[in-house]
Amino acid sequence: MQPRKKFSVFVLLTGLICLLAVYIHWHRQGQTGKIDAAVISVTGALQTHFFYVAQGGRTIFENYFFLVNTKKRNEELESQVRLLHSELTSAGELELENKRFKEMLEFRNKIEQKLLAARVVAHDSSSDYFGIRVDRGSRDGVHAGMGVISPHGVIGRVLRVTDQYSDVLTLVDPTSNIDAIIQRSRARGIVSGQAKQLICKLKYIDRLEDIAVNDVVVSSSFGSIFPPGLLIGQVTAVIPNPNGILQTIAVKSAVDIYRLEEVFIVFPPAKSETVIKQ
Amino acid sequence: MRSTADPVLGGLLRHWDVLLPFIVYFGQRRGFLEGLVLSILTSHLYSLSSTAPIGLFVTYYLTVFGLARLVSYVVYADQWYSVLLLMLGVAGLSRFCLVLLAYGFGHQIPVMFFRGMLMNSMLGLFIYWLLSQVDKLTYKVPRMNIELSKNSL
Repeated sequence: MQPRKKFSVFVLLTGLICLLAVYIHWHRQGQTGKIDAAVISVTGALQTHFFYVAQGGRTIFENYFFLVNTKKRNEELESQVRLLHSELTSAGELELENKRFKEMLEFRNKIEQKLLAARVVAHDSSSDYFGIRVDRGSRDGVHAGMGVISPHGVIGRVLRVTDQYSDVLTLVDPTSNIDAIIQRSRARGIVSGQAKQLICKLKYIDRLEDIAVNDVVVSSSFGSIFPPGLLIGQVTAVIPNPNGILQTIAVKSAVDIYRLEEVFIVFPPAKSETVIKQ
Repeated sequence: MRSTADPVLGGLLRHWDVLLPFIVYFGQRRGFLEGLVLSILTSHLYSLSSTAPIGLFVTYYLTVFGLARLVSYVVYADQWYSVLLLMLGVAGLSRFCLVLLAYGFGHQIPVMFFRGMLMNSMLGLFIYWLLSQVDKLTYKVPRMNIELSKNSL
């Protein structure tokens, strides 16, 4: 067959196939022939299985191979979370410290006596004594006998001083004695510790003195160790002694020494003017 | 340790006599002179961290050392139950000693016998075991072994 003839047959056949396809398309109107249906069902089944296999492969790939990156990313994120959490805690701590300092500053401005701020660095090594150690010593002008206070109330007195540190005998220590008065009745006595965390006793109070539960106990001006009128605690129990001349009074300390972080050391006044402003 | 633990544990360890097991160990497992020097040094260090009068805790811990030393001639605590019994006994006795000694120094301390005794015994047993492990690691020969070997010769 000549090439020209070959080409004509090819064009004719192609044209016929196209016409046949167009005819089938218009004639069937969406219906499928038996052979086509059989072919589709076979290929469809193959496609379905291939699709599941491909999907499974993709899932394995995504969940396993990509997991290497996910793990790395997870570690990075966890590290970031830890860092942020730490920063958040520090920020919270700074906020609280700031609040305490502000409170201390306000308190400092109320007191006329010179005050020296100090940080609590340790508690007593023995459970029978209630001392604290602060980071101010003789080089800061601190000496034994000075009063130690906080915005919440009286803490105690300086017992021992070294160059950099001072040991403070707190008011809850059994060996501590602090001059005090009942704010309402002005009855005067000595507050002494009882080797308990918050409980003190008010000693040497005449049994005829008018004292009631919830009365406020404040520091007296005697000795000028503490600013007068500073909170010491609150009366929690009054036990009358019908046969004696004194009554027993339990006082709850206003300050919990185990929660103290910053304190003030009170310098003795240059003149005898130790009153709280206002 | 107490300063750190107090705000967290809320006074759970407040009746714990930190130095007691160390002194008992010195009394039991160290030679007289070595134990004496160690006891004086550690108790003085302890005193300096307290507002108690200087000398009270040195006297107290020397008494504990003497007690542990005396007991060591009768019972050499090397099993867990014997150490526990020893710690229980010394923790109880030492409390009375401290109250009496503090009274001598012009201070009044509550007895609080049972509250601290159990805690001191349990923690004491642990510290005692820890110290014996350190001795084993450093090949420190217990005093009693030396003394027994002397007798056997």
